[in-house]
Amino acid sequence: MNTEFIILSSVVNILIVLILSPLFDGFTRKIRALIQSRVGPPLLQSYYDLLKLMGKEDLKSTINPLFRLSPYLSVVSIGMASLLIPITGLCPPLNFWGDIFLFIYIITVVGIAIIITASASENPFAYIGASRKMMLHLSVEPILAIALITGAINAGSFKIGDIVSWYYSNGPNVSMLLSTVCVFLSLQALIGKIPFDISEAEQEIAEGVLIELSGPKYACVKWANMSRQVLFCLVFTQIFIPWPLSENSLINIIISLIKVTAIIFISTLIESLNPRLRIDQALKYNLTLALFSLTSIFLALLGV
Amino acid sequence: MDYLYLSLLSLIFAMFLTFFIKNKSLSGFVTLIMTSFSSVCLFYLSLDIIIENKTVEKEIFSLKPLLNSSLIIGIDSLSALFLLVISLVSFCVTLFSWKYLEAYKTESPQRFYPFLVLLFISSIGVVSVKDLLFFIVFWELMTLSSWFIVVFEREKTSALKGGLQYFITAHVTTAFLILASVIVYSYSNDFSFKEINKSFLLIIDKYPYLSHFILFCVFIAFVTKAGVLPFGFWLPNAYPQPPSSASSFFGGVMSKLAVYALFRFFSSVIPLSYHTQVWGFIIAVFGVFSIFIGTIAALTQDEAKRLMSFHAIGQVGYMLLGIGVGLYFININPFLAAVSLVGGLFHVFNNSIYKSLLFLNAGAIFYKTGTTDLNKVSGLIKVMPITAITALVGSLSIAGVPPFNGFISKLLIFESSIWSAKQSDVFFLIRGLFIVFGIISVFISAVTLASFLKFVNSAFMGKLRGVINEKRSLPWSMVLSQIILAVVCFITGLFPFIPLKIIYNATVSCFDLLPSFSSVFIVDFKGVGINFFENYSQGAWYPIFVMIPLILLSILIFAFEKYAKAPKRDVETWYGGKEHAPEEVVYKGHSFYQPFKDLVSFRIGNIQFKGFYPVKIPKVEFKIPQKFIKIFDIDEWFYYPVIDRIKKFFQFFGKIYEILTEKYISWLVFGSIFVFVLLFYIFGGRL
Repeated sequence: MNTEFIILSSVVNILIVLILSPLFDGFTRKIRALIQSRVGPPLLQSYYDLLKLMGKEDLKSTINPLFRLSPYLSVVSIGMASLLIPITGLCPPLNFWGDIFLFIYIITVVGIAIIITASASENPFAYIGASRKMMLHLSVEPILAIALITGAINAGSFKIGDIVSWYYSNGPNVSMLLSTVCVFLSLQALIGKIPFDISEAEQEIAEGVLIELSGPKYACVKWANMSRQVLFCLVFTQIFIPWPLSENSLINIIISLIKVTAIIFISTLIESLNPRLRIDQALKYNLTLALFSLTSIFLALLGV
Repeated sequence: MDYLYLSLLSLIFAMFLTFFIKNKSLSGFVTLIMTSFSSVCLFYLSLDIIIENKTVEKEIFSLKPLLNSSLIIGIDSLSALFLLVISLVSFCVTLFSWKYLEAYKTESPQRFYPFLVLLFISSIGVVSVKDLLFFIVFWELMTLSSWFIVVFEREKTSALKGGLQYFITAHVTTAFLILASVIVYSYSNDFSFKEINKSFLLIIDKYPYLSHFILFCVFIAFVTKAGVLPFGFWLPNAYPQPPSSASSFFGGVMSKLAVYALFRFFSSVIPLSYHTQVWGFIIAVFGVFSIFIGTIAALTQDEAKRLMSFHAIGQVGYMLLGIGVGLYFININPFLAAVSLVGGLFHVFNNSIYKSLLFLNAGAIFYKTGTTDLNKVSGLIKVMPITAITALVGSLSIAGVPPFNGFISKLLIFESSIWSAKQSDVFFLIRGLFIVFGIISVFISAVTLASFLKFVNSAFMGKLRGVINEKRSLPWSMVLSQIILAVVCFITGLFPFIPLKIIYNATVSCFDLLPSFSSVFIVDFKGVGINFFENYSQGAWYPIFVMIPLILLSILIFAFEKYAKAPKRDVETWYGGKEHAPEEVVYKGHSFYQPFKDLVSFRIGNIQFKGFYPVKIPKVEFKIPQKFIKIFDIDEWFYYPVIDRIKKFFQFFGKIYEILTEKYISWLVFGSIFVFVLLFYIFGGRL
């Protein structure tokens, strides 16, 4: 672990999660268009959207200072969380003691930023969205936590890097496979796409948390949502499916990009073929899944 | 040691002085001056002890001819840690209440300040005495003075009700403590902690069941005061009642002193044995129970101070989880035990800071609006921005969001409870249970965040509502006390090595078999490293390194927005195209998380549960079978019948005298004949 590696891989991580995320979003839009037999926007459309929004008029519905600051926090904390995922090799750029908890908390910060933006905007629709977002986060966080803790028990370490390298070298075992499945089943909820985009439901509560945002703030939150998709797909592919891996970090980056594209493709398929759930259905689904995934802990304790 | 006398002297002086002052402002000022003087003394004293890592012990007076007990003041690192907290919180509390009491129009300060100061004195006493009898005296003094503060508003029925509940519960459990101390005294013949420690080994050896009973009594007494469910049912009714500054001392220090007492008893009063392990497990179980129920119940509350009181229950659970896991593993793996105990104590330290801060925030809301009901106020960030920011800091700290101070202590607790999976010599199910405890506490910290975001969102965000007097701005003293606590939250989060070292010394001063500081934690200004085993590093947590990219990125993006120069315009809130007055479409605090609340609310029999917590604690009605009562009613089935028989018997004989003389004579004749016959029979006719 030298400084060169840290700097290089953090640049790579931030590049993939923050800079490439509009590209992936364009990819999903293209696929959705193909499924709905449309031509769809060009692949780079999301970049154009963001740049256009950055220069648009900024409408302020409140004097609340938090309304101005927290959209930026959402993007920043996603960039921060991206530093905890291994892309160039088995080791992420930031490798702390107990960084699985740090990771969970940083994801929480993303939610907090959007919730505070929403509730600071004084719009009742945004309040409804904020409340729903928090509930969704509340129900989906334990699944990810349990999956990561299963890995921690297996690997005997709370570092994401150690968990990944243990998983890579010791192959899949029952408990880790189970938690992988659970994370996959909760992936749509983690990303916040249909059937779990309840907090931003367009038809129902007029985009909920985003309703009062405009201009650069809207661009930031939109960007954060795009990056969140890439981030959680990366979490799934890099931590729970670490294979294949090579010595060369460049090849690793390419492999991980291919894996992420595949996962985003699957999630887009799910998104465009499913209806939206109600919040109580989503809560029940997630909490049941969380209870079910507790078995993986006991399996890990048994050593299988 | 002289500093302790000085601080106590100034506090006692303040107590007597405030008894006679009727002016609120003056009374508050006198208390403020005296308390800040005593805080400085205490701060200096505790820093001195912490830095030199020494123990001061002095016998003030003795009851020797009567009882083997003497007022021993002993301050070790653990006491010094708590003295530090008390000095900080008591200063902020008095600073806050100076102007705050003006919000209470009709009440006299004579019924508040003396008891508040007495509460400070007794809490200093509780942490510094080393004698069981005097410990109980100070403990009782603490209960009494806090009870007087709870019933400060005499006209409010809820205050009287809550106060009564608190009074009865606290005294019943103190009776348990007294019972335990009497039993112990009968064996040790001395009340000092040292002697009890020596003789307790003998009790454990000879009478294991009796020692379990003693530990049970001690456990019940402290756990009830700390508010651990199901014993802490009184807490949500009592804590919201007094003025917020006093509630902040209750939530920040008083309930934590119970954790101190528990820690003190299980560490230095009772020797380490198998019993410690058993009770460690029990403590952890009760801790998790109150984490779960307390915090989820808090989610359903709409009243700010009641919400925080439920969180006081939940947060105490975290401490007990840490301490319990530590006590369980102390003989098995001292490294793990050290991490866990330090986590528990660290959480005590952090909690006392942010919990007092949050109660002060609630007090500021009350000062401004006259209510703490989250359904009635909103948008207060526009009139008190600093309170809003400090409330946000407190909320993020209590949820354990990095880089605020709750994070590291929660991290230590999570990791140590999950790390028990690697202890192969512990029974499988117990290991699994500890891991489930860890996961529950991870989940609950998200619930904590949710309920505090509800508090912040509904009180400070949104349209401005519920302000009584917009011109009355918050006094500087109230703002300052909040800022101090928020800054402490932030600094201890960013530089965790300062409190960590203090707390580790405090832990080691109680358990000497723990490994040395440098073998468990690796600290420098950047952060903290940790070893769960000997020579087995687990890496480190560098809050500053996490902060640097965060700050850099936010500057970058913010600069981008500045560069883009998007035009700005003020607009009205958009209600989907319709014209609405803001009051029509307001989203009240009650509406937050309604589906989740429905999910955790249910009904069993007549009792409605809301967030797993009964809305109304059902009246306990014993229906003892009639036969069972009869057994105890000896008069009914034994005394009266027997007496009746005897009476009748004598009445029957009494009748004889009432009959006429002739019959009397005939009785004589018959009797003499009878005697004659009898004699004839006995002597066989040989007369």
